[in-house]
Amino acid sequence: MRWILIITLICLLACKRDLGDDLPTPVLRLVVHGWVTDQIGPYTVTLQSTGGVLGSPQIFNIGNAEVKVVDNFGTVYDFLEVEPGIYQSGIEFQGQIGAHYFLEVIIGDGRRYRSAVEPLLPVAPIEAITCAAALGANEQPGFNLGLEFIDPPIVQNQYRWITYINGEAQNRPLQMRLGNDKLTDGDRQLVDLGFYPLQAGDRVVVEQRSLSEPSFDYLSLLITQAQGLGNTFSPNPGLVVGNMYNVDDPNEVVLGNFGASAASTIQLIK
Amino acid sequence: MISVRTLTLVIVLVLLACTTVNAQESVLDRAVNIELQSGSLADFLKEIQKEASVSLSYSQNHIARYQDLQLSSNLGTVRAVLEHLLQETDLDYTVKGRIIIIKKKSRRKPRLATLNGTVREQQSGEVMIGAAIYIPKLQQGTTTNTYGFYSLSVPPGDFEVHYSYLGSKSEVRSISLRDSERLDVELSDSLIVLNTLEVVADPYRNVTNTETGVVTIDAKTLTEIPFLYGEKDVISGVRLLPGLTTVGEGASGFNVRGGDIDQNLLLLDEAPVYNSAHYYGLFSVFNPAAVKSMKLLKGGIPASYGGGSAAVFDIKQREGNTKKFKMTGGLGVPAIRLNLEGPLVKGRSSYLIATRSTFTNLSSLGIANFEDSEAGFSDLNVKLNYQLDPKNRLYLSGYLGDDTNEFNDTGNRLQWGNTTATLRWNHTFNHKLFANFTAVYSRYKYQVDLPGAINNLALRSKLLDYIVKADFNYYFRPGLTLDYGVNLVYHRFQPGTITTSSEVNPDRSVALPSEKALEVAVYGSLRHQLTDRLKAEYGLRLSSFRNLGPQTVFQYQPGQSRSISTISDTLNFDDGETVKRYQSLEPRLALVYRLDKRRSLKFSYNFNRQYTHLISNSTAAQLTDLWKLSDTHIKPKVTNQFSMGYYWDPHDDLEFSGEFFYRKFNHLLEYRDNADLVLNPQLETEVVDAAGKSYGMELFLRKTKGALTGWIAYTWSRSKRRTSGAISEDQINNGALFNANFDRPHDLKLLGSYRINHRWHLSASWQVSSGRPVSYPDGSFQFEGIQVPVFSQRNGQRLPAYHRLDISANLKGKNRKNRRWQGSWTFALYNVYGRSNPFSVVFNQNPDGSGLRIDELSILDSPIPSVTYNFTF
Repeated sequence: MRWILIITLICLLACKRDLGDDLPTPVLRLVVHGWVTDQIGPYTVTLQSTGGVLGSPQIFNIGNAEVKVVDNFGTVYDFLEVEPGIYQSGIEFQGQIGAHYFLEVIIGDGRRYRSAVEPLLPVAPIEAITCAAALGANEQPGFNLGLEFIDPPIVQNQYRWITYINGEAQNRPLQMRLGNDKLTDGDRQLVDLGFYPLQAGDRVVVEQRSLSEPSFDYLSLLITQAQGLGNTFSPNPGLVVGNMYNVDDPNEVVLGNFGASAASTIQLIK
Repeated sequence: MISVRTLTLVIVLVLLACTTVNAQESVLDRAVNIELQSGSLADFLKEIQKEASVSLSYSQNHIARYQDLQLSSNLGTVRAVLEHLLQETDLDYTVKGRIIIIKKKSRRKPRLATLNGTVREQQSGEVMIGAAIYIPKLQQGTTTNTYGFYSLSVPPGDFEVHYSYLGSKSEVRSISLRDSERLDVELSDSLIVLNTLEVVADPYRNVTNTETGVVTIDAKTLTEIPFLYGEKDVISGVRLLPGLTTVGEGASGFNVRGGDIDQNLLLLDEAPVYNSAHYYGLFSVFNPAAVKSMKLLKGGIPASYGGGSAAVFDIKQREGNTKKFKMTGGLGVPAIRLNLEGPLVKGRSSYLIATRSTFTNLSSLGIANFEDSEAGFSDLNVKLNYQLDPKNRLYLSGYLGDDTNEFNDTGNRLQWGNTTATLRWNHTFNHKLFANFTAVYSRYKYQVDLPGAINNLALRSKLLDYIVKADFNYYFRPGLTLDYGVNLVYHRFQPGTITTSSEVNPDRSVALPSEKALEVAVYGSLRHQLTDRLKAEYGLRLSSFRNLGPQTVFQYQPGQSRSISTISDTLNFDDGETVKRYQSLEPRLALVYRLDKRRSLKFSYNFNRQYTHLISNSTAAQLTDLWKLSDTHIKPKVTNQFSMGYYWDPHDDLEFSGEFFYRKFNHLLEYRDNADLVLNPQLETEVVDAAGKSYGMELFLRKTKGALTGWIAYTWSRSKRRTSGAISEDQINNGALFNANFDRPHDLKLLGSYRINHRWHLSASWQVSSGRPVSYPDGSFQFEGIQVPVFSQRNGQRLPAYHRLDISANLKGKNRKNRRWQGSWTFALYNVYGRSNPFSVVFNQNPDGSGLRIDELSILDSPIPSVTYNFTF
């Protein structure tokens, strides 16, 4: 009997509670994402709320909002709601390198939001795409993709690389690629895009985008956060805030970011 | 490299040490053969002068009245004859140079004679720190200092002097003390007869000393604690004491009474150690085989210490056996150990060499996150000492440690280690003045190599300290001792250099500029018995810090948060130019009021400033975290601490203490959310100034003797932080209080050790504490199909409670006469019931894209058995 009690006690000591029960009550916040490029549009702005953490997040799309992008010449480009919470520009709007843009949103209850002014910076052309046979996890055959370009000297540059396989953007957190020339200004840049199990006939397109420094910081933090923090030495998690703010109430926490990029692309048919 | 200035100073110190003072044989000890049996004092004095060839000085007026004195036997020495002749007179004698002066006894102030010397361990010849010296007849006593020296001034007379040290047999010496006299004593080890140990001298040291919040663990106690893989570890040992917390297993360092880990000053033979972690903190760099004493000061910190604004962990290395060669060692799961020690010149000089090295891949031992890597460490402790004469002794000690960890999947390689060297010269100027001159070199460096498929990166960083100091102890009289000294530190921090290399581009290096600073401090502190019941230790430390150029300092727009966009000006400083100066007067006070012989009340107040900062944005400190010196924007950390306690020895083998503390911290550095700390030349833009407070109660009951020993330690405490910026960008949690990473309100630690017989010895420890604070998301949003958690409150929730049971059994080999080889086995089981204590939680994407899931990370989540073999030869 004594041993049963001891074993029971040991089992109880080894038990743990469900951590999901400790999550705080979700707080609803506005999330705005929008991006303008020098490529042909339309461009998209999404307005959503934050949702829960576990399981289906119950995110609300915010419709019936007034959405517009304004450039440094005062030109206003209206965005129309094409789906609940998704707004698109007209075909007449194409971003111009050297121009500056900001986003303005007025939602149904009259609250006005605006982004910081974003420059549309030029981007260097991609010189080559590389493709080397490699083995992935579990000995899966595939290819390590890479690209080469020459970073413009003197100026500080930030980049994002998006890989499309057969037209589909590869945007899982571990596939997202960002970089800057902090250590390699003016050098020939070699970018490791990661491993992909390509099949014969697959079409690979890599897009190289310029980023402003604040947008680069925002995406870096977002990727870090999305990759899962909490390892022994990983940074402590924190609130990822972009360049959106409430015009009338600067204390309101608004999430998301509005950015502008020039883009260059390269294609590979396997 | 050691600077020329430091080298010059070291040479001067060595030369000075070589200029030794010849000890004079006291004229009082000369043999004398007096045949005269009766006569006047004048006759006897003339006889002494003639027979012993000594010079006597006296006034005829003083001795004329003593005409009929008797000397029953030949007493041997001049001292004995004089003692006998003068005992019934109003005369006394003293020695000046080689002349004995006979003079009238002073009526105003009794003459004091000083007994001084060194207390050593008999078996090894090593000095004993904190050994008690006590004269029951006078009810006066003292303790040896860090170098085993003591000095006790008392009225002349015949006494029994008791020498004792916990774990050693007491020694009683009868002494006829007339003048200053040196008496070196050796105490023998009594571990085997500990049950019957009689500690005569000051048995209530727990109650009587002025130290609050001071904990010591001796080498014997370390053998009674069950450790991970049976590997004795100094820091894991002290973590079992009250008031210490940590963020979890696998985290380096420890937190003392709500302070950050960088607020602990770790000293190894007076050299600062910046990273105490082997293998990320599962083991510490302090090899127990080389450690002589460990003292953790978390309450009252004397003025002689500066820089540790939360605690000082003072570790002294052993000196080595001065009498015979000894070899000890062991073989455990993680490491093999070998220690050699012995005399270089018998009785005068000894050496100690202690080394450890892993021979298995530590990553294969089942530790989460590191399975797919190769890891190991090694270290070497060396110490030499040489006694030039009874008043001069030289010590040279050093430490060299190295850790490597290479990850198989990425090829990433990390390497880090400390190097220290300490040269000390102990000099006894006279029977009341003891001095220690020290020169220290300390270096911590790390290197991270990140070979990429295309680009290779290497990050290197180095911290250097050069220290010279002089410390003095002046023993005025019983109950009044002055400690004073001067301390000079030259810091040179090289925060980081990144080198990139690739096939197509030339190697490139980007380096953050080095930081330099000069820190000077002078201090004075009195240990003072104010009344029979009240004892005090009070002192002042004046510290001055100068951050030196070359440096570029950015100025920011007033009223704005520091960022690149708010830079208003740039100031350039030349090499050696003062960039920023701080200075401070740091008062220290400790009081003990003795209620009766078994109970006392203690109080302490400390004001500490610290000029070095560890900037980290991770839960556990990383080896790549940045150390930073105070500068224009980063102010010195300040700690004010009040502590009071009730100390009670309810029984001769029981000690109890209950302490309350309150600490207020200023100018702590809190990282901004998502701070970018890597190679950032403007670190001030990534941190915000914060204040903090911690308070709590520590209860500690310890059984020190008998077959069953151990302790119960319970702490209730809180540690909170609040950013002090007025604008929202400089605030965390909107300027509201938030829990420190290591805040664990309840913390209970039990240690029991039971000696079954002289061969078998069982130990168990159980720890239970509140879970540490963590940040949980209060929402999530979508970005390009990725669900991103939203963390808006820092440390708002807690992990589940932490608890763990460890057990061990020690088996000593049979004692066989004439056999030098003695072995022992340690069988240990860590985390007996396999509790999976989460270190942290991770919010990961579900692979099917259905949102987030919670993953727990535990470092050691299953029972870990181990066997260790130790030997002594």
